[in-house]
Amino acid sequence: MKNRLVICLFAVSTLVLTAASALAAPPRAPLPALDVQPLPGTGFAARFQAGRAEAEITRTHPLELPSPIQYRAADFAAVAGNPWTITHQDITVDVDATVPSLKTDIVLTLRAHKAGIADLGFVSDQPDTVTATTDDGTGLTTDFAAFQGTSGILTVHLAKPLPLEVDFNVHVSRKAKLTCGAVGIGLMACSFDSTFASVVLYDYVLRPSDFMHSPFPSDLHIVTTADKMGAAPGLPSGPSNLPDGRLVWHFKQVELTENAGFSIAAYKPFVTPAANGMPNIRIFSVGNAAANAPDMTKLVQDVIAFYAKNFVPFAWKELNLVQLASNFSGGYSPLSTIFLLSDAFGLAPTDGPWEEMAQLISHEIAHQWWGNLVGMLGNGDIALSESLAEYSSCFYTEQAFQNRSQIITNNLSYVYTVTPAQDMAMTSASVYGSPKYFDIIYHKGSAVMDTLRRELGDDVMDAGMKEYVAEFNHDFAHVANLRAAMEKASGRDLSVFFDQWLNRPGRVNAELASRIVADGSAWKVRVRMRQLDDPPRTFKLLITVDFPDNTSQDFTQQVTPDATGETIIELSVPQHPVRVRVDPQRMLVRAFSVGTPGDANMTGLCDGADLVELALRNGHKIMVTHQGQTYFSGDYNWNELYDINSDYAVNPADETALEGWIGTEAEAF
Amino acid sequence: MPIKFVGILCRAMTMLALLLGLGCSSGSASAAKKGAVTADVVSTPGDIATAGAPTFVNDPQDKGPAVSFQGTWQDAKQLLHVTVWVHDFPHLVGLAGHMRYDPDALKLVTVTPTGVPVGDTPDPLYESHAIAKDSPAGRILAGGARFMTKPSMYTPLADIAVSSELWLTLDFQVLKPGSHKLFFDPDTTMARSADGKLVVASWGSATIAWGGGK
Repeated sequence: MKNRLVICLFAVSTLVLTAASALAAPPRAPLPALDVQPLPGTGFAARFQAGRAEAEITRTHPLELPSPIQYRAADFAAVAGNPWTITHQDITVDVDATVPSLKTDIVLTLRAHKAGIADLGFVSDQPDTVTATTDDGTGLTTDFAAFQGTSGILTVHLAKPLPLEVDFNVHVSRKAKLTCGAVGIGLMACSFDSTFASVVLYDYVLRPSDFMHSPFPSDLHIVTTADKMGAAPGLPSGPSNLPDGRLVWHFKQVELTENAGFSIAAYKPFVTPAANGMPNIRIFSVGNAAANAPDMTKLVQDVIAFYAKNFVPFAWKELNLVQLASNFSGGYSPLSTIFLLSDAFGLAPTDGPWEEMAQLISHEIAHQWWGNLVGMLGNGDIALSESLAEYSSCFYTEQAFQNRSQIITNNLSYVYTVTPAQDMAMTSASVYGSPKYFDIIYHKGSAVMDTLRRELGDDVMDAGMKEYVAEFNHDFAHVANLRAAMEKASGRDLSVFFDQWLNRPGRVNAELASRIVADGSAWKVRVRMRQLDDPPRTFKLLITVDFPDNTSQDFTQQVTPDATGETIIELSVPQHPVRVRVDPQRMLVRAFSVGTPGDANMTGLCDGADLVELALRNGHKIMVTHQGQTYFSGDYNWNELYDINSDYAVNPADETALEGWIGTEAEAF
Repeated sequence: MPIKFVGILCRAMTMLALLLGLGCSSGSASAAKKGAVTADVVSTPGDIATAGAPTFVNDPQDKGPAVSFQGTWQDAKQLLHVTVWVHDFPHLVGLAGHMRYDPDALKLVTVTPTGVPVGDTPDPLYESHAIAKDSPAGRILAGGARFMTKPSMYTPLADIAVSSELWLTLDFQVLKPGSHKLFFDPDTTMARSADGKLVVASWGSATIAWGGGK
């Protein structure tokens, strides 16, 4: 009876105050994004660098060949649609680390599908010397035209056109001094120190320049000194002995791919034979790091099992993980192999950086599905490689470590560091040109795929991914193909989702307000969302209502804004809430502001409870100043609703600001 | 007669103070101890309560985490002096609630919050803050929490054990005869520990009874 009296009193006072404060307030804009970079020295910055480096690889692939680029369906069954194809490459690499230089001897096996093919263009690094012959030793003329850094187009001129539909061998020998700078600002194209000699991003393998894709099987032979070992994609064998005492390590790549790379070091390989759907896993690491190879293998198996369950089984027989020098800066994942910077090796699960290493490795392993098993067809399809790989990694770490730190940090990074001027649609063919390419494709991309999972549900999402792979395995796809697969699995028209998230830049910008009103013996939570962008977006929204008995109730609501961008949601709850949380797990790419100043806990009133909640979040911030420069710090516990003075940090200044708003009630709605 | 005058002046000053917004305040402080106030029930006659001074009866909360009222009648000021105590919390970061009273029967003259929780041994890395605002009259929005003075994303917030600490100090004028409740709206009370969990606590109440004046 006493409680009923209290409820009535509260309800009356709420109504009175509502009437008194009915004047509409202008929407409070969410915090803008700042053009900043990650704080150096943090794990997030390292992963950011690794990812950005990988992005640079993508950008230097033949996507940027001189126009006109003829994109062709590179369905492996449809390779014959190209005028000619590479059916095999036999490659011998011999490094002189003292220069450094690389001698490459390749036997190219080609097949023409059209008559009159006499000039063969290849993407190639710039050779100091080059010779080309046929099987019978007939010399061929060549020329080289540089177009980007040390890369260019090597054209081999045949004496007569290739015979139709018959294998024809061309021998190309090149020698080149290596320039081992970073590719762009990212991964090192090659690296030589006392421990490692690696060449992974140099165009020593020949790929056609006249058309987009011609994947091929290959045999790679790596010449090393007697105390070293070669590591590369594929099934290893050897070594063979050379007369001069050196060794040759052989790697057979039976899969059709255009990727390659190799490294030389005193590797101590740790091999785990294939079993139970797992490939042969080889950890090529050196020194003391080799002692932790079993831990790394277990992680790799765990990741593969997770992806196999949620996507499709691992497609290759081999998976080699190769340790490179630390200055490699990140990871690179050609088919059946992962090249990783040195720091990723030698860790135990109890080590602090283990989780960050797992984020990097799970991203790279995901590329065995996204980018290798299903490639991207055009410039606007990079999301099919990097966004899906990063999403998969976040998906894995969320269940493996039981937290959403990776996906939330990614979300915050995009939302608060990509300014509107820098932003581009994920499917824009020129997204590579944005200075925030990585934030858009990796961070927003992973968050958007996470949103899609919430929209469709786990089972439908998994079914959609399986559908996508089933149709495009060993093939190349457009983003539209992914959408079609998801639509087929869900039975829904996903055009709005893909248009608003992938084909359009930006985030949800919305002002929130909440009121709690008596409803007989229960209560109603009314939440108002005012989207500030035109057109507003539609999406599913999770609202969690917390009660005094430490229980919570989740409500998933469809947000379909009216013409003004406003949505009112009404939730019936059995108890008076102590807190209302809107999208508490950041399942949306969004920035919120609270329309009732100081009402961070969304109870409709700025009061002492907001002070308590503020204390719990004190110290979390996403921007830090270091040596006079502002950086993104990636603190996934920061919450903009508690950042009352809008300085990207929840700190004592917010408490001062909050005290000024105590007693402020939500306006009527 | 002089006493009557004092009472009128006090009311006038109170109204002025409320108009100026002085009825709300916030504070940060070290802990005061419950033992500083002893009397729960006061019956000293005053000018307003000729038929007997207002009596203050609390609803004692002796067990577990609790919030309790204490009160004394201050005859010279013709005010009911009320203190609110936080006690027996094994883990506490902060607490809050809406304290209710009947503004037609009681007039809030002052409310002063004291920073809680502090703990038996104040930690220099923490500062406790509290707020209290009568908004609107009859509903005091109160809260107290401990904040790290140099917060860091790498340093987890720690809660603290509270044996007994003063949270709120209030002075009321009694305007009408009758039985008047002071209580925390149960739909608004909350206390949290450092892990973010809500701490179940007993929130006491008090009754002010007055038979009326001449």
